[in-house]
Amino acid sequence: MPSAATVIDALDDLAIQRARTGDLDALERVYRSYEGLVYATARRICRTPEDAEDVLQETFLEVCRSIGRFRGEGPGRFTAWIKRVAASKALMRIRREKYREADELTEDGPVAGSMDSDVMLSMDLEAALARLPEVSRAVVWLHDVEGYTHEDIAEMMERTVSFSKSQLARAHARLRRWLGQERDA
Amino acid sequence: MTRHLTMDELLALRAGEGGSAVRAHLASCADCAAELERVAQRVAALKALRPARASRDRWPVVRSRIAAERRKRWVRRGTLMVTAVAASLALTLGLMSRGERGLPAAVEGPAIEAWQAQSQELEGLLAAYAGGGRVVDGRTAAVIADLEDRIALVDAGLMQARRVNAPVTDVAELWRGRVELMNALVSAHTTRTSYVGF
Repeated sequence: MPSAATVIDALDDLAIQRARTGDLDALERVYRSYEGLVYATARRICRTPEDAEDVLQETFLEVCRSIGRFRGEGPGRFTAWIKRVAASKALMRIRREKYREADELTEDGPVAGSMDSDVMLSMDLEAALARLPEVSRAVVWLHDVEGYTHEDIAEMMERTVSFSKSQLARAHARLRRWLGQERDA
Repeated sequence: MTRHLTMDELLALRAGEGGSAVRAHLASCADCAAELERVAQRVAALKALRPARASRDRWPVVRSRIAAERRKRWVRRGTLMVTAVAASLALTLGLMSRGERGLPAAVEGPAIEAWQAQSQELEGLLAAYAGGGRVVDGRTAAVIADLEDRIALVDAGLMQARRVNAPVTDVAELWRGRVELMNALVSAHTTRTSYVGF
């Protein structure tokens, strides 16, 4: 994923201002600067690469349509705005596709010292993340990697803060188990 | 506390939350402290995962969709323009017929003078901004041409109103419209974007 600093270097205020006038060449520059960031987020939330590419496309259609109304100052705010559009589009897609899975696991017991039959599964983190239900994966990615608060996530998902917190806890409990990170009794 | 901490409690501690009993347990339980450290390691590992890259370039699709939407908008705007011209002609014809019927009319009045003064002021501003021979992009040039056409129509209406001694309210309305269009034209020259938005 390109770092925020790389994006900021590539896209200064002037380029953003040009894009806001609707200049297609400037908008392409915005796309080239942010496509990696947007796709990386979308891919972690969506089930398939095709879905993530659709989210990439929907995100930039929205950006092109709304950039004239963007009132933030500076590339930092611009990056945050695009990331938020991308996250919202990805969450909208998983809602639309009805990929949400029933969260049948109850992982609210004590953590340390317990054992589980799946402990030895020990898959790698990439595979374990992919195995999570989409909503849990979205929460863990948005909270732990993208740095959104539970309040932000609840708002984007149109759910409660406690829903976001419980999804995060369940996701960590599952990852811990699947990664074989549980401690012996 | 006689039990180990739940994942909810560990995550709350990581977020700087959690009650005193939970904190006290963490301070005295090596297992839970190690578990909290593993959460931190897992988050660090998540952040370090290699980013996925799109296999297809979606920009051509985005560009063509945006261009198509703009074309549609221009067609809509053209339709509105035709409607505005028709309305202006209807107003002019209406003024003519009222003048021919000898209805009372006075083209002078304080409201009209105020609009005329504003219009003159904007003409001065426009001369200052537009007289520099600066290059504007295609979209802005189209907006400016559109506004200038509409101002020309209003001017034709004003001439006609004078000719037929139109009622003062109609003349004031024409001047008010002229000032609005002039304001938009000055904005188009200064910001080059404010009129059309996106």
